[in-house]
This record gives sequence, C-alpha cells and structure tokens, in this order.
Amino acid sequence: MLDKNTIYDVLTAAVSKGADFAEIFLDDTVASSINFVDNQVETTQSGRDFGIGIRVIKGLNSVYVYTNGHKKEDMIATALKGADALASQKKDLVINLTKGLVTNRNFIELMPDTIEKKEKLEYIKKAYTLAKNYDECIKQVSVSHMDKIQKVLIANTDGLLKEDTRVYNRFVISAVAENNGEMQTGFSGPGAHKGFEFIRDLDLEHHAHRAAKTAKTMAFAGYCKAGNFPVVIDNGFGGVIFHEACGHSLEATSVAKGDSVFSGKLGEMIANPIVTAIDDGTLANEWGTLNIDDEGTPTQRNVLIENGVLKSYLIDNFNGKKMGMKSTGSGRRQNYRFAPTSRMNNTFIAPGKSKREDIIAATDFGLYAKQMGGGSVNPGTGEFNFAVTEGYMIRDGKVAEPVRGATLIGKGHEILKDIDMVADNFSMEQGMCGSVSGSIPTNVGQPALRVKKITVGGR
Amino acid sequence: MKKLIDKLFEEGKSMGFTNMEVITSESNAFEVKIYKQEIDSYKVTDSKGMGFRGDYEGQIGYSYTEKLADDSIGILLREAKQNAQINDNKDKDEIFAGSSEYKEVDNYFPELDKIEIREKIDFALKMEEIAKSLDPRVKSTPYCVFGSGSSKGSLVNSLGLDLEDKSNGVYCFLQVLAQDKEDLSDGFAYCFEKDFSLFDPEKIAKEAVDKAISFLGTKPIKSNEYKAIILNEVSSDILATVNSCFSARAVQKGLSYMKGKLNTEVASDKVTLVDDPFLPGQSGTSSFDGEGVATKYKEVISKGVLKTYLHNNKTAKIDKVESTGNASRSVKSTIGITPTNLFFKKGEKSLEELEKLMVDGIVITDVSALHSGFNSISGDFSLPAKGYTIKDGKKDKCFRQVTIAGNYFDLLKDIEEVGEDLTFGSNGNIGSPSLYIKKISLAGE
Repeated sequence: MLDKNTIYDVLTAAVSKGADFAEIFLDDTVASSINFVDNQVETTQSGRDFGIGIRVIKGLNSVYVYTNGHKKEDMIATALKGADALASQKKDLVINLTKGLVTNRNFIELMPDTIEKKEKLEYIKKAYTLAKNYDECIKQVSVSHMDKIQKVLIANTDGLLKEDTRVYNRFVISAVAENNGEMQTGFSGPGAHKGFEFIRDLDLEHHAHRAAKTAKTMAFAGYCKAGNFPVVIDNGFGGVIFHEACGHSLEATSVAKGDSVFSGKLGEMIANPIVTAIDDGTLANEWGTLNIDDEGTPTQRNVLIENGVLKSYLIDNFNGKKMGMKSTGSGRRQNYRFAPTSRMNNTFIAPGKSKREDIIAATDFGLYAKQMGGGSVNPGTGEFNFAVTEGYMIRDGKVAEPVRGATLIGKGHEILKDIDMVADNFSMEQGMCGSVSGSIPTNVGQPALRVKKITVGGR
Repeated sequence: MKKLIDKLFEEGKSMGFTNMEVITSESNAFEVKIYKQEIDSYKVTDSKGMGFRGDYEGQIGYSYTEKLADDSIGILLREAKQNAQINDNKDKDEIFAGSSEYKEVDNYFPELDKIEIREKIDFALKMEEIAKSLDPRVKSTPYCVFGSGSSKGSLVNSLGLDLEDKSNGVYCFLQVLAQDKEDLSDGFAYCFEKDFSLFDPEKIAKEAVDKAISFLGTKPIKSNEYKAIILNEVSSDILATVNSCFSARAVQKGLSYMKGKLNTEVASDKVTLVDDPFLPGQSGTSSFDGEGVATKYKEVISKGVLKTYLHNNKTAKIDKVESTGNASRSVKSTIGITPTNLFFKKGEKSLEELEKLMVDGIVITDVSALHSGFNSISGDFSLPAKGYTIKDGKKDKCFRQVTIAGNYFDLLKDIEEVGEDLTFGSNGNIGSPSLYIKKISLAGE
C-alpha cells in the first residue's frame, strides 16, 4: 500500500522533534450501500475513503493528526504538525521496519467488489417482499445492504509493519406496522466479517419475518407500566445489557483514568458467581472479529469475568502503558480519522445451565424482554439505559400480553450482582458501537438470563 | 481541484453521462483534551473530499472519493454508473441549474482563526483547574476540550452553477465527575459562541460543577404524573431527535406523524416553529442548499398550525409545490432533507417566571438515551431523566434515576407556555426555549 521508504520517512518526521514513539495507520476503503424503501431503490451510494492517521507519543502524552493527502510530501507535512506539538529535545530513535505476518481468521470467498450491484438488489427485493407480505398491518419496509473492503497498513517506530484486509457484509431489514394510526417498528440486522457468500447463505425469511413480527406485535401492544420488578432478557441482542452496562466500563479508556466503577477491582467478586463474560476477537468470520487490532496487535480471547470474579480489562497499547499492563488486542478505531483506543470485539455472557422456559416459569411477575434495542451508558457513574423493542409481561410463570415503550435503567455494577439465572440458549447479534474512537462493528451476545430486580421505565 | 473537476466532467461525458455535478469539501480542525492538567489528546486534521452525481440514461448515480487524484476518476464514474443502473426510483433526482438570487450570509468570523494554539490549550487547562478548585468532591473531568475548525465547500455542475460557502467556529466542552463516598454524579457545560471574548472558563466550570454536585446523594421521586418544565437544552436535544417528522420525504413515505396534517393544529397555539437559514454564525446557516437551491425563511408551525413540510426539489415536485430549500447533501451522502436552523420561537417569560406559574411540578434538566428511548416515527419516548422539583413556585429538591415517558406529539399540544431562553445548545442548528407542559408521566420510586 505504501513503500518502506515512504513509511520510514513519515515515521522519522513524526519523531524528529523529540517524541519517543510514532505510528501510522493507512486506510484505503471501498464501501458500497443500497437502501430500498417502498418497493424501489431509495439511495445507492459507493466510494473510496482514503487517509493516513499519524499518532505521535511522548511519555504519556499523545498527538493525533491525519490527512487525505496521498503524496509523500502531504504525509510528511502532516507528521511534522504532530511532531511540533510535542517538540522537546530530540532523541535518536532507530527504526527497523520488519514486515510482520498476520494470521488470517476470516476466510473470504466472494469479494464484494466482484459482485454486480444487480445481484445485491435481487436479495434486497426478496427480503422486502417477505417482510411486506408478512401481514396486512405492515405498511412500510426498508431493506439495506452494505459492504466494505478496508485495507489497512499499520507501522510504528518499534519496527512493526503489518497489512490486513477486512471485508464486511451486512443486511438490515426494518418493518413498520400500523394499527389505529399508531406506528411501531421491528428490526433485524445480520452481518459478518465475510464476503458476499454471507448474503447468499442468509435465511432471508427468518430475518424478514422477525422484523415484521416485532412491528406487528408492538403495534397491537399496550404500554408497559413503570415499576421495579424481575426482567428476563432473552438471548442474542439482549447481550447489549452487558455491552453497555459493563463492557464500556471495562475499557482501559475509562479504567486507566480511575474513572470506571471497575477501576482497581481486578480479582474481586463483581458479579453473581453464575456470570462469566468474555470478549473474543478471534471467532472466525464474526462481525466483531479482527486478525490484528488497529495497533497491529493480534486479537485474543479475553475472559473478563469468570464465575463472578473480575479477571481482565480491555486494553490498548497506550492505555496499557499508563496502567503498566499489556495490550489485550483491543485497540480499535472506525478509520484513519480516529486515534485507536480500547474497545470491544465480540463481547458476551457465556451460557449457563438453566432452560429459558424454566426461568420464565420461576418468575411470578415480571417483564420478558424478547428483543432489545440500543442503549447508552455513562462510564463514570455506570448508569445505563436501553429500550425493549419487543416485550411481554410475565404473569404466573407464563409469557402474557405484549407491552411497548419499556426501557431498562440502572447501574451496570449493580445489575451484574442481580443476575440470578442464566440459560443455555446462547446466541450473538451484530451492532455498531459508537465511542471515542468512532463507530465500529461489534457483536453482543448472551443466553436468556434473569435480573432479579430492575427499574423499568414505561407509563 | 478545478482541473480535476474539468477532467472528471470530460471523461464522464464520453462515458455517457449527460448532466453532472460535484460537491467538494475542505476542512481543517484542531482539538485538545485536557486531563489532570496534562494534554490527554491533541488532534490536528485536514480533510478533503469530493462527491459526484451524474445523470446516466435518465437516472442519477452517486459516488465519492477522499483521494483527490486522477486515479479516483475511474472509480467515481464506474461506481456512479452502476449506481444509476440499479436506481429504479420513479421519483427522479435532477441536476439543478440555479436559483435567480442568493442571499449573502454571515458565517465566517476571521477573528476566530487568529486564536493561537497556546491560548486554546490554556483555556482548557484553566477550565479544568477551576472546576477542581470549586469543590473537594470534584473527582475528575472525564471530558475537557477546546476545539476549532473551519471549512469550505463548493457545488459545481455542468449546467453552469458554481457556488461556494465557508464557515468556522470554536467550542469548548467540560464534563465533571463528582464523588461523595460511593456516590457518583456528573454534569457538563459548553460554549459555542462566535466571539472568543465570550468564552468564560469560570462560568463553564461553575455550571458543570454545580450540575454534578447538586445531584450527589439525590434519589428518585415518586412515580406520578407531574406538571413539568422541559429545560431549553433538553427540549432542543429532543427536537433534534424528532425533527425528521417535518421532512416531506418522511411524510411521503408514510414515516411521519405529520402526514395529512397540513393546515391543522398539531401543537398548542403558543408554539411557532421556525426554519431560518440566515442566522449569523449558526451551523445550519447557508445561502444555498444541497441541490444549489436558494434557502429561505419559513414558519413550519405557526401558532400551533402546521404550515409546511421541509422540501427538496424531488419531494416538492411530488407535492406540486416549490422546494423550501432544505435539500441536504454531503460528500458521502445522496440528496436528502434537513432543516437549516430549526427552533421554537421564544416567548416572554423567564425560567423563574415559568416556575412560579407552574407552582408545583418538576423541571427536567437532563435526559439521556435519546437514540434508543425515542421512537421518532410514533413519537413515543421513555427516557432516563434528571431534574428538580418545584414547590410553591420555588426550586425544592433535585432527583435522578427516573424515567419520563409519553408521546412527543401529545406533548406539543400540552404546551402551556414557552420561555424566553432560546438556545441552540450543543446541537448547532436545532434550538428551543424552555417549555412548560401540562403533564408528563414519571417513573421513579
């Protein structure tokens, strides 16, 4: 992507005024998207993102600069802006760039740019028809397909030089149901670190019907009453609870500063002993998987919580230096516009031993959150909230009437202790996680589990 | 750039494109983040990009590139051609030849470009230092930044349209985390003024610290229906989430509550919603929109009555009206619809007067989870909130960890009074004063 001499010269410029480390991240991405609404193409867009991000570090200070310029002199001029910001006495750094091997975990059969857009559109139309014909109340369906080929080159003054190619495909179906003038939406958004074979092999009917079913159920549902009671959160996207409420607080981004509720708690019991949580960046072809993270470190399987005990944080190189700990392969960024920091890959609560049916049967009164929506968390206070997009009341140990408008609110570290049953029906789903280093693909996951008491917002 | 565009149009023509258009964007930005009196992050960036659209056999195809070099021309044209070929939308985009007149706007402030980097860093350092000194319970400042940026954009097409605009701005943002034993609470403040002399580190630090400290040790209040004042910044954030309901595209697609409601009452008669592209220094200010149409001032809601949707050329043609000059477009996006500067017109009463008028009720000072707890189609919301109670017209006690819920469109009809404290908050182009609402449902204890 860039010849060794240019890399060497850019890195040399970056450390020319006294910095002790510099890193470049060259990003050349071709992305394409088709959005289909109301039985026709609403938008279709594609293009090329290109830029180089340069990070310069001195001690615990870091500077980030980037440019879209593709000429060597643009890159060097940008590197010098970074160098200037940390100017002090010059050190003599010897840079020995050695091309490193990258172990491939993601096997790609069909590169997206070899597929005709017409074929992509055929799959979209199929999914559209399946969702639209699900029920008369489905008034609107939107289907999108996105693919992306991201080529990266990462090099630093420690001599690291690695290149990798990441390929993504995602299909997003959303359905709107109407009942008495009230509109409700349902959603399914499968994705993978895979080529177009992912779309060819996808069970379109399952995803189209799932989106339509949520919309229909919610359109005919009454409002959820607010209160404080047990909640059974089902598998798959239900894992957003852990992602939002705990995962972000385990990122070195907040732990290194001592801002996180989990700072200084390694080895302590922070969750109910039935809870084991893992972040795994190595699962083949999964949405959140990478061969190497965006600092060039191979990803790994990180056990975060084992039987309730805090075992590990998610760490990038820079924060690792502050904490005196090694990178866990978690340095990530959306693209060249962002300095990398510790982020999640595929994060989930491991399966337990109960059956979902038994958990519901053991609950006299509560909420069954079948589908979860997005959410957010304040890493400082641990306060989180997220929306239940398909919910039902549980009455006398049985799933009863559907309810809409429910949100779950609370504090992450408290919820972890209140998880009192974990089922065996583990699954993962895909999301885009937004944080300081941009929006990145991540998997969330869990089996069905019960939180014995949680504040449910409704009306 | 000019050369590249000429070459692009020339090669496009020989490939079979008829009308073609390019938008360009060039920007520079700086941001410094301070943590514990050290530079925590420091970012200097320069970005360039080019968006292309062209008419290929009667359909428009789009593409973009961030690499402004001859070797991107092939990609731009190939992708745009393929995108045009699968574009079966029966309502066609068109390249626009231009409006008869464009109003001058004031959106570039040369003085702002003269602020030295050192001054920016010192400002952020000072904000944090003051925040720490104000109260021993201030634990840290997770987010303390000062930033600046300037950008230049252009729209050039093969029908002879050649428009340019530029803007710049500076901002600071401070988040404070306070701790009392095990209890944590955060608060934030910011400034987006176009005059650096109006940036006051003391004022910002005090505001953020007060917000954080005042919620320490507070508890939820009882679940109930309350009379409520939604603070200006909160209302502005909510309007920023829900404003797509005024887009004619959303209406035509059946994805808006406002469908079929033109010239009917959609809000209380205290409510006038304005879209004004000419406010100096506001982020939605521009003399032309994403299609090159001249922008204009309009009342979307006038004394409670819905007067117009926001249109681009395509939606206007469908509704047989004139474009309202609300086409959106960026380098990487296709034509859409966006407000310029959209805000509720201010009333006459101060926040204190609204509180007196309400006698008993609550003031909502903060909501979160707008992206997940708000259904912008149905208007249903359920949002974690913070605030304080009003007893006998006076501030009583702060509360947090509660959820407010309701329907935004019902709430618009329940507006009793609109305050005078119009602000665009941190949203840039979406503004609101504080709103006094008849009732809101709250889940707490």
